[in-house]
Amino acid sequence: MKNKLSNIDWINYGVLRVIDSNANVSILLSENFSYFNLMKTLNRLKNNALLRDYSGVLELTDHGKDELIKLERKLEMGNVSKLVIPDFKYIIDKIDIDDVYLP
Amino acid sequence: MKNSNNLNIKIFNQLTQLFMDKFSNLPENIAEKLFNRISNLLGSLDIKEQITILQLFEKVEYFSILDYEMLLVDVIKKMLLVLDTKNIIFTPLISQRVQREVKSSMLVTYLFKSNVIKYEFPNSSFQFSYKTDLIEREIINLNNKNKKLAIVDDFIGTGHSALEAARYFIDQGVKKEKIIFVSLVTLTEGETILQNHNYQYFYAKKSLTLKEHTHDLTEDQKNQFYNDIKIISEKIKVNNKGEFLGYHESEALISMIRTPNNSLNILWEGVNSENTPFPRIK
Repeated sequence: MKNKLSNIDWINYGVLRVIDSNANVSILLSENFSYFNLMKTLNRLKNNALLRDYSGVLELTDHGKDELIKLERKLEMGNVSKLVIPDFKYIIDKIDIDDVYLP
Repeated sequence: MKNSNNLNIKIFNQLTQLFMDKFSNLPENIAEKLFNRISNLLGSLDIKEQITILQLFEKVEYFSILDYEMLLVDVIKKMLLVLDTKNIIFTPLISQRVQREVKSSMLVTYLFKSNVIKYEFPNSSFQFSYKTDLIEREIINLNNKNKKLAIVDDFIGTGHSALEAARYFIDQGVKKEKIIFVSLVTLTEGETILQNHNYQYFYAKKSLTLKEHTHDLTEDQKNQFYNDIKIISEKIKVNNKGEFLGYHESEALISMIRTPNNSLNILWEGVNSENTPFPRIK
Protein backbone atom coordinates (compact mmCIF):
# COMPACT_ATOMS: atom_id res chain seq x y z
CA MET A 1 0.00 0.00 0.00
CA LYS A 2 1.33 3.42 -0.89
CA ASN A 3 1.90 5.54 2.19
CA LYS A 4 0.10 8.86 2.42
CA LEU A 5 3.36 10.59 3.18
CA SER A 6 4.74 9.68 -0.23
CA ASN A 7 2.13 12.15 -1.46
CA ILE A 8 3.76 15.51 -2.06
CA ASP A 9 0.57 17.32 -0.96
CA TRP A 10 0.92 15.92 2.56
CA ILE A 11 4.57 16.90 2.75
CA ASN A 12 3.94 20.40 1.44
CA TYR A 13 1.01 20.81 3.81
CA GLY A 14 3.03 19.70 6.84
CA VAL A 15 5.99 21.97 6.12
CA LEU A 16 3.84 25.01 5.31
CA ARG A 17 1.79 24.44 8.44
CA VAL A 18 4.87 24.18 10.70
CA ILE A 19 6.28 27.39 9.27
CA ASP A 20 2.94 29.17 9.59
CA SER A 21 2.84 28.20 13.28
CA ASN A 22 6.57 28.69 13.97
CA ALA A 23 6.52 25.14 15.34
CA ASN A 24 8.92 22.32 16.10
CA VAL A 25 10.02 20.46 12.96
CA SER A 26 10.35 17.06 14.64
CA ILE A 27 6.60 16.63 14.27
CA LEU A 28 7.24 16.15 10.54
CA LEU A 29 9.74 13.34 10.96
CA SER A 30 8.79 9.77 10.27
CA GLU A 31 10.45 6.59 9.12
CA ASN A 32 10.21 7.79 5.52
CA PHE A 33 10.81 11.48 6.07
CA SER A 34 14.14 12.57 7.55
CA TYR A 35 15.61 15.96 8.41
CA PHE A 36 17.38 15.86 5.04
CA ASN A 37 14.08 15.33 3.20
CA LEU A 38 12.73 18.26 5.16
CA MET A 39 15.64 20.45 4.08
CA LYS A 40 15.03 19.54 0.45
CA THR A 41 11.31 20.31 0.80
CA LEU A 42 12.08 23.65 2.41
CA ASN A 43 14.40 24.59 -0.45
CA ARG A 44 11.85 23.46 -3.05
CA LEU A 45 9.12 25.56 -1.44
CA LYS A 46 11.44 28.58 -1.36
CA ASN A 47 12.37 28.07 -5.02
CA ASN A 48 8.67 27.93 -5.90
CA ALA A 49 8.02 31.22 -4.07
CA LEU A 50 5.72 29.66 -1.48
CA LEU A 51 8.15 30.80 1.22
CA ARG A 52 10.35 33.83 1.64
CA ASP A 53 13.42 33.99 3.78
CA TYR A 54 14.50 37.46 4.91
CA SER A 55 17.78 37.06 6.79
CA GLY A 56 16.73 33.82 8.40
CA VAL A 57 13.12 34.84 9.10
CA LEU A 58 10.96 32.36 7.27
CA GLU A 59 7.45 33.34 6.19
CA LEU A 60 4.72 32.11 3.90
CA THR A 61 4.22 34.32 0.87
CA ASP A 62 0.65 35.19 -0.19
CA HIS A 63 1.00 32.40 -2.72
CA GLY A 64 2.10 30.08 0.12
CA LYS A 65 -0.88 31.07 2.29
CA ASP A 66 -3.27 30.34 -0.60
CA GLU A 67 -1.57 27.01 -1.19
CA LEU A 68 -1.94 26.06 2.49
CA ILE A 69 -5.68 26.79 2.39
CA LYS A 70 -6.06 24.79 -0.83
CA LEU A 71 -4.16 21.85 0.65
CA GLU A 72 -6.27 21.89 3.84
CA ARG A 73 -9.37 21.59 1.68
CA LYS A 74 -7.89 18.99 -0.63
CA LEU A 75 -6.66 16.80 2.21
CA GLU A 76 -9.97 17.31 4.07
CA MET A 77 -8.19 18.41 7.21
CA GLY A 78 -11.25 20.09 8.72
CA ASN A 79 -11.27 22.72 11.44
CA VAL A 80 -9.10 20.71 13.82
CA SER A 81 -6.04 21.39 11.65
CA LYS A 82 -6.25 25.08 12.64
CA LEU A 83 -5.48 24.05 16.22
CA VAL A 84 -3.34 20.96 15.94
CA ILE A 85 -0.63 20.06 13.42
CA PRO A 86 -0.88 16.37 12.59
CA ASP A 87 2.11 14.36 13.77
CA PHE A 88 3.56 12.65 10.69
CA LYS A 89 4.57 9.61 12.70
CA TYR A 90 0.90 8.77 13.19
CA ILE A 91 -0.40 9.51 9.72
CA ILE A 92 -1.50 6.21 8.23
CA ASP A 93 -3.73 5.27 5.33
CA LYS A 94 -7.29 4.25 5.95
CA ILE A 95 -7.56 0.52 5.44
CA ASP A 96 -9.84 -0.63 2.63
CA ILE A 97 -12.83 -2.81 3.46
CA ASP A 98 -11.33 -5.62 1.36
CA ASP A 99 -7.86 -5.42 2.96
CA VAL A 100 -6.81 -7.93 5.58
CA TYR A 101 -4.92 -6.41 8.49
CA LEU A 102 -2.10 -8.58 9.80
CA PRO A 103 -0.54 -7.03 12.92
CA MET B 1 13.05 9.87 16.78
CA LYS B 2 15.21 9.49 19.87
CA ASN B 3 16.76 12.67 21.29
CA SER B 4 15.44 14.73 18.39
CA ASN B 5 12.36 16.44 19.65
CA ASN B 6 13.44 19.99 20.11
CA LEU B 7 14.19 21.71 16.84
CA ASN B 8 12.29 24.86 15.99
CA ILE B 9 11.73 25.70 12.32
CA LYS B 10 13.76 28.95 12.66
CA ILE B 11 16.86 27.12 13.90
CA PHE B 12 16.29 24.40 11.33
CA ASN B 13 16.14 27.03 8.60
CA GLN B 14 19.43 28.53 9.79
CA LEU B 15 20.99 25.09 9.69
CA THR B 16 19.65 24.57 6.18
CA GLN B 17 21.23 27.84 5.00
CA LEU B 18 24.53 27.00 6.65
CA PHE B 19 24.57 23.51 5.20
CA MET B 20 23.79 24.75 1.69
CA ASP B 21 26.56 27.34 1.92
CA LYS B 22 29.19 24.95 3.22
CA PHE B 23 28.38 21.48 2.00
CA SER B 24 26.33 21.87 -1.20
CA ASN B 25 29.04 20.19 -3.29
CA LEU B 26 28.76 16.89 -1.41
CA PRO B 27 27.18 13.87 -3.11
CA GLU B 28 23.62 13.39 -1.87
CA ASN B 29 24.18 10.18 0.08
CA ILE B 30 27.06 11.74 2.05
CA ALA B 31 25.19 15.02 2.53
CA GLU B 32 22.04 13.24 3.75
CA LYS B 33 23.81 11.33 6.51
CA LEU B 34 25.85 14.34 7.59
CA PHE B 35 22.83 16.63 7.67
CA ASN B 36 20.76 14.14 9.66
CA ARG B 37 23.54 13.68 12.21
CA ILE B 38 23.94 17.44 12.71
CA SER B 39 20.16 17.86 12.98
CA ASN B 40 19.97 15.04 15.53
CA LEU B 41 22.67 16.78 17.56
CA LEU B 42 20.76 20.07 17.48
CA GLY B 43 17.53 18.28 18.35
CA SER B 44 19.07 16.92 21.54
CA LEU B 45 20.04 20.41 22.80
CA ASP B 46 18.22 23.44 24.13
CA ILE B 47 17.88 26.55 21.98
CA LYS B 48 20.87 28.44 23.42
CA GLU B 49 23.06 25.40 22.86
CA GLN B 50 21.70 25.01 19.34
CA ILE B 51 22.80 28.56 18.51
CA THR B 52 26.27 27.80 19.89
CA ILE B 53 26.53 24.72 17.66
CA LEU B 54 25.42 26.72 14.62
CA GLN B 55 28.08 29.34 15.40
CA LEU B 56 30.63 26.56 15.73
CA PHE B 57 29.58 24.96 12.45
CA GLU B 58 30.11 28.22 10.59
CA LYS B 59 33.78 27.64 11.31
CA VAL B 60 33.99 23.90 10.60
CA GLU B 61 35.70 22.75 7.40
CA TYR B 62 35.11 19.45 5.64
CA PHE B 63 37.28 18.13 2.83
CA SER B 64 35.89 14.92 1.39
CA ILE B 65 37.89 12.49 -0.72
CA LEU B 66 36.51 14.32 -3.77
CA ASP B 67 38.50 17.41 -2.79
CA TYR B 68 41.80 15.59 -2.40
CA GLU B 69 43.03 15.70 -5.99
CA MET B 70 42.44 19.43 -6.37
CA LEU B 71 44.17 20.12 -3.06
CA LEU B 72 47.07 18.06 -4.34
CA VAL B 73 47.21 20.12 -7.54
CA ASP B 74 47.42 23.27 -5.38
CA VAL B 75 50.23 21.94 -3.28
CA ILE B 76 52.24 20.69 -6.28
CA LYS B 77 51.99 24.15 -7.87
CA LYS B 78 53.39 25.66 -4.67
CA MET B 79 56.23 23.12 -4.62
CA LEU B 80 57.18 23.82 -8.23
CA LEU B 81 57.45 27.54 -7.54
CA VAL B 82 59.94 27.07 -4.72
CA LEU B 83 61.91 23.85 -5.13
CA ASP B 84 65.10 23.83 -7.18
CA THR B 85 64.62 20.17 -8.08
CA LYS B 86 61.86 18.15 -9.69
CA ASN B 87 63.46 14.89 -8.65
CA ILE B 88 61.42 13.91 -5.63
CA ILE B 89 60.80 10.69 -3.73
CA PHE B 90 57.35 10.74 -2.12
CA THR B 91 56.83 8.70 0.99
CA PRO B 92 53.78 8.48 3.27
CA LEU B 93 54.01 10.02 6.73
CA ILE B 94 54.16 7.06 9.09
CA SER B 95 54.92 7.88 12.69
CA GLN B 96 54.69 4.47 14.32
CA ARG B 97 56.15 2.02 11.85
CA VAL B 98 56.01 -0.94 14.24
CA GLN B 99 52.20 -0.95 14.02
CA ARG B 100 52.22 -1.53 10.23
CA GLU B 101 48.80 0.10 9.86
CA VAL B 102 47.39 1.39 6.58
CA LYS B 103 47.29 5.19 6.88
CA SER B 104 45.58 8.01 4.99
CA SER B 105 49.07 9.29 4.10
CA MET B 106 49.45 6.22 1.86
CA LEU B 107 46.29 7.18 -0.01
CA VAL B 108 47.56 10.73 -0.58
CA THR B 109 50.96 9.46 -1.72
CA TYR B 110 49.26 7.22 -4.26
CA LEU B 111 47.16 10.15 -5.50
CA PHE B 112 50.35 11.74 -6.89
CA LYS B 113 50.06 9.07 -9.55
CA SER B 114 46.48 9.98 -10.47
CA ASN B 115 45.52 11.01 -13.99
CA VAL B 116 44.23 14.36 -12.72
CA ILE B 117 47.75 15.22 -11.56
CA LYS B 118 49.40 13.88 -14.72
CA TYR B 119 46.98 15.83 -16.94
CA GLU B 120 47.40 19.01 -14.88
CA PHE B 121 51.17 19.02 -15.32
CA PRO B 122 51.59 17.30 -18.70
CA ASN B 123 54.88 18.91 -19.78
CA SER B 124 56.65 19.05 -16.49
CA SER B 125 59.94 17.28 -16.21
CA PHE B 126 59.02 15.60 -12.96
CA GLN B 127 60.98 12.67 -11.82
CA PHE B 128 58.66 11.44 -9.12
CA SER B 129 59.07 8.12 -7.38
CA TYR B 130 57.05 6.61 -4.58
CA LYS B 131 58.45 4.55 -1.72
CA THR B 132 57.21 3.47 1.67
CA ASP B 133 60.80 2.94 2.78
CA LEU B 134 64.31 3.44 1.41
CA ILE B 135 67.11 0.94 1.06
CA GLU B 136 70.75 1.92 1.69
CA ARG B 137 71.54 2.49 -2.00
CA GLU B 138 68.56 4.82 -2.37
CA ILE B 139 69.59 6.79 0.72
CA ILE B 140 73.12 7.29 -0.64
CA ASN B 141 71.66 8.34 -3.99
CA LEU B 142 69.25 10.77 -2.31
CA ASN B 143 72.00 12.32 -0.18
CA ASN B 144 74.42 12.77 -3.08
CA LYS B 145 72.12 14.02 -5.84
CA ASN B 146 69.83 17.00 -6.30
CA LYS B 147 66.87 15.11 -4.88
CA LYS B 148 64.34 15.56 -2.10
CA LEU B 149 62.44 13.14 0.09
CA ALA B 150 58.87 14.45 0.52
CA ILE B 151 57.00 13.08 3.52
CA VAL B 152 53.31 13.22 2.59
CA ASP B 153 50.05 13.33 4.55
CA ASP B 154 46.54 14.68 4.15
CA PHE B 155 46.62 16.59 7.45
CA ILE B 156 49.36 17.77 9.79
CA GLY B 157 48.01 18.90 13.14
CA THR B 158 50.47 19.42 15.99
CA GLY B 159 53.41 18.29 13.83
CA HIS B 160 54.61 15.73 16.40
CA SER B 161 53.90 12.73 14.16
CA ALA B 162 55.64 14.52 11.28
CA LEU B 163 58.79 15.02 13.34
CA GLU B 164 58.68 11.38 14.38
CA ALA B 165 58.42 10.31 10.73
CA ALA B 166 61.39 12.51 9.81
CA ARG B 167 63.39 11.12 12.72
CA TYR B 168 62.95 7.60 11.29
CA PHE B 169 64.56 8.58 7.99
CA ILE B 170 67.33 10.61 9.66
CA ASP B 171 68.15 7.58 11.79
CA GLN B 172 68.36 5.56 8.55
CA GLY B 173 71.02 8.00 7.30
CA VAL B 174 68.99 10.53 5.26
CA LYS B 175 70.42 14.06 5.55
CA LYS B 176 67.95 16.34 7.33
CA GLU B 177 68.08 19.01 4.61
CA LYS B 178 66.89 16.45 2.06
CA ILE B 179 63.55 16.04 3.84
CA ILE B 180 60.55 18.19 3.01
CA PHE B 181 56.92 17.87 4.14
CA VAL B 182 53.82 17.94 1.97
CA SER B 183 50.29 18.04 3.34
CA LEU B 184 46.90 18.86 1.89
CA VAL B 185 45.77 20.71 5.02
CA THR B 186 47.65 22.00 8.04
CA LEU B 187 47.13 23.64 11.39
CA THR B 188 49.25 26.67 12.27
CA GLU B 189 50.78 24.69 15.13
CA GLY B 190 52.09 22.02 12.73
CA GLU B 191 53.44 24.65 10.35
CA THR B 192 55.23 26.48 13.17
CA ILE B 193 56.83 23.38 14.65
CA LEU B 194 58.13 22.20 11.25
CA GLN B 195 59.48 25.65 10.43
CA ASN B 196 61.13 25.85 13.85
CA HIS B 197 62.87 22.58 13.01
CA ASN B 198 64.00 24.11 9.69
CA TYR B 199 61.98 21.85 7.42
CA GLN B 200 60.52 23.07 4.13
CA TYR B 201 56.79 22.52 4.31
CA PHE B 202 54.20 22.76 1.52
CA TYR B 203 50.46 22.60 2.07
CA ALA B 204 47.33 23.53 0.13
CA LYS B 205 45.11 24.93 2.90
CA LYS B 206 45.52 26.12 6.45
CA SER B 207 42.59 25.25 8.69
CA LEU B 208 42.02 27.69 11.52
CA THR B 209 41.46 26.44 15.03
CA LEU B 210 38.76 27.61 17.43
CA LYS B 211 41.41 29.66 19.22
CA GLU B 212 42.27 31.46 15.98
CA HIS B 213 38.64 31.96 15.02
CA THR B 214 37.78 33.49 18.39
CA HIS B 215 40.91 35.63 18.54
CA ASP B 216 39.00 38.90 18.09
CA LEU B 217 36.38 38.22 20.78
CA THR B 218 36.64 39.78 24.22
CA GLU B 219 37.87 37.54 27.04
CA ASP B 220 34.33 37.34 28.44
CA GLN B 221 32.83 36.35 25.08
CA LYS B 222 35.58 33.78 24.56
CA ASN B 223 35.14 32.26 28.03
CA GLN B 224 31.39 32.10 27.53
CA PHE B 225 31.73 30.34 24.15
CA TYR B 226 34.27 27.80 25.42
CA ASN B 227 32.14 27.15 28.49
CA ASP B 228 29.08 26.56 26.31
CA ILE B 229 31.03 24.07 24.17
CA LYS B 230 32.23 22.31 27.34
CA ILE B 231 28.70 22.03 28.70
CA ILE B 232 27.37 20.63 25.41
CA SER B 233 30.29 18.19 25.24
CA GLU B 234 29.42 16.94 28.72
CA LYS B 235 25.75 16.76 27.82
CA ILE B 236 26.30 14.50 24.83
CA LYS B 237 28.98 12.60 26.78
CA VAL B 238 31.89 13.06 24.40
CA ASN B 239 34.21 11.24 26.79
CA ASN B 240 34.61 10.54 30.47
CA LYS B 241 37.90 12.40 30.87
CA GLY B 242 36.46 15.88 30.52
CA GLU B 243 38.51 16.54 27.36
CA PHE B 244 36.70 18.60 24.77
CA LEU B 245 39.32 20.57 22.79
CA GLY B 246 40.74 17.64 20.82
CA TYR B 247 44.08 15.82 20.96
CA HIS B 248 46.73 17.96 22.65
CA GLU B 249 44.08 20.71 22.99
CA SER B 250 44.58 21.44 19.28
CA GLU B 251 41.08 22.98 18.92
CA ALA B 252 40.88 21.99 15.24
CA LEU B 253 37.58 22.36 13.41
CA ILE B 254 38.07 20.01 10.51
CA SER B 255 37.02 16.70 9.07
CA MET B 256 38.59 15.00 6.09
CA ILE B 257 38.43 11.43 4.76
CA ARG B 258 38.49 10.67 8.47
CA THR B 259 38.20 13.17 11.28
CA PRO B 260 41.51 14.09 12.92
CA ASN B 261 41.43 13.63 16.69
CA ASN B 262 42.87 17.16 16.84
CA SER B 263 39.33 18.37 16.16
CA LEU B 264 37.03 19.36 19.02
CA ASN B 265 35.74 16.16 20.62
CA ILE B 266 32.16 17.26 20.06
CA LEU B 267 32.69 16.81 16.30
CA TRP B 268 33.76 13.16 16.52
CA GLU B 269 33.52 11.58 19.97
CA GLY B 270 29.84 11.54 20.96
CA VAL B 271 28.63 8.38 22.66
CA ASN B 272 25.88 8.17 20.03
CA SER B 273 27.24 8.24 16.47
CA GLU B 274 23.80 9.27 15.17
CA ASN B 275 24.14 12.68 16.76
CA THR B 276 27.89 13.08 16.31
CA PRO B 277 28.62 15.11 13.16
CA PHE B 278 31.82 13.34 12.06
CA PRO B 279 32.13 10.19 14.20
CA ARG B 280 35.43 8.32 14.21
CA ILE B 281 34.13 4.79 13.77
CA LYS B 282 36.82 2.11 14.05
